[in-house]
Amino acid sequence: MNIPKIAEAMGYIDDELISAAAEHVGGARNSSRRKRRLTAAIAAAIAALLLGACAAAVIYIDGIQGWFGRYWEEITGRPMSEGQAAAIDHLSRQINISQTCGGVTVTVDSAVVGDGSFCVLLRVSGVRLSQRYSYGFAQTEMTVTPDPLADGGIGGYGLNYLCADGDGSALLLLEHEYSAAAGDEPDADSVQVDLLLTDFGRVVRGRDCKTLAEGQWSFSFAIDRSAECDHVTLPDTAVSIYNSEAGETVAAALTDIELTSMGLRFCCRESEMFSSMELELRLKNGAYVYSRGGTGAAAENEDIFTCSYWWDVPVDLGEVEAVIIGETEIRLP
Amino acid sequence: MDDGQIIELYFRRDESAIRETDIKYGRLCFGIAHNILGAELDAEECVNDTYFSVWNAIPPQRPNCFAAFIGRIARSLSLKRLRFNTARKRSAQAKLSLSELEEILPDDRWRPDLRAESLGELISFFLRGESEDARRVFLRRYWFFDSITDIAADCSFSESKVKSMLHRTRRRLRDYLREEGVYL
Repeated sequence: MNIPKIAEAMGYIDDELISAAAEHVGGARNSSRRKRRLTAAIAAAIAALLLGACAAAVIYIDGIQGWFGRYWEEITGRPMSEGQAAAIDHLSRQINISQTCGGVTVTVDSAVVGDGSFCVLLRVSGVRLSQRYSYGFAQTEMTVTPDPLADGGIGGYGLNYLCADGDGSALLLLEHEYSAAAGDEPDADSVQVDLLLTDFGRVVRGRDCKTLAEGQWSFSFAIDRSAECDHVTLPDTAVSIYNSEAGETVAAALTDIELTSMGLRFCCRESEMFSSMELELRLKNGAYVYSRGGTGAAAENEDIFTCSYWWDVPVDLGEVEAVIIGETEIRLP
Repeated sequence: MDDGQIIELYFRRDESAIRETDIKYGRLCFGIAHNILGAELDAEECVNDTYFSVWNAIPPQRPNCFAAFIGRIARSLSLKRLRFNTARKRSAQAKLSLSELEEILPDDRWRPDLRAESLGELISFFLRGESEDARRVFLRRYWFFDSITDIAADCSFSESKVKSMLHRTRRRLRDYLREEGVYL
């Protein structure tokens, strides 16, 4: 069928489907992040829920568990089950330290920790926010001691704006992830986090930050990584993956596949690892949880990489039906 | 202003209907036209033509989904203009987008009695069974003719994820059309 005919056929798509897709056309989103993150549509939907709620009650996010609870509802269409809530609670830590500078208070609220990564929920209050914009800091500097990257691991961190809470404060998520060097297990010892945030402002065009509040907010806190993450070992599997860079489907042999509440780890040859590998979980209720990205660390003198990918939200493995890696589905035992 | 109120302005022949339409849907229409035509001036002209067409269509029409109604007019006018712009090297985006569908809609394999409208209905039915993300990305690419980069930025996906999603959706669409007997 030639292109004009295809265009004509596409023109007969139902109005309802077009209208729904049209709601997202032309929206400029904050794409300035070191790691991919929650869809802006989901965050916007949650923001609309918080700020558009009935005037009689202010709804706000209660800690990082509250955030993941709202996120879960948006992606699955239903509230979290008790098992799913318990899985997140198990990995959650209260931190609750605040600092005020120039009338703006930044609070390190709570964290979810597990399997080589942690997410920390930050609140910023004392600044008037608008639903039209994203917000952030001109500079974010974080050091982790001991440094998990010191022994050949690879990783990074990023701070992303989520939404305005019902009480008008800005919610941001600080994510730190790392992949241990091949052959190493992620460290379960506590780490000390030193965080320095400079100049809070409105993010313009996903990159520049227009300063709304000048200042520096400095924090030092410990992250306890001792809580064990639920995990399931999956069989070594040959997977088919669409390599978008090459424009073809290729095969990769994955070994030592470990599914956890926080993500997925596996080993593969360097030649079979590339950036367009997509992972997702299919839940028993039919919903999907996507990966927000991953990285790989090589062993010395070997062609083997240990790859680590992290889910958008911690998952109760009891609710997972299958892991989908590229075009291959691996059902849980 | 909600869509119902805007449509009432058209029925009252109040020219502020055009202004309100531009405020609410100007960006959508320009985006569609620019994606197809690739040139700002052409896109602006198409948007103006779209508003003129809407003014003439309402009344007597009273669209249920105004966004789809006006988007469809903008799309149709832009595609018509594209066909006449034989000398233009721009506007590759629409052709690039649709050429990706050619792999599952090859010219020599269709049932000769299959009309474009029937195919559109089949695709609609297929899309309703897809996830919201997959459906949105597919329509953004093949109805709105957005680039991979724009879709990735707006949806906060990586470009590779968008490409993978489109690839998998096209394959599932191909399998679905095969089951529906549209191929010879």
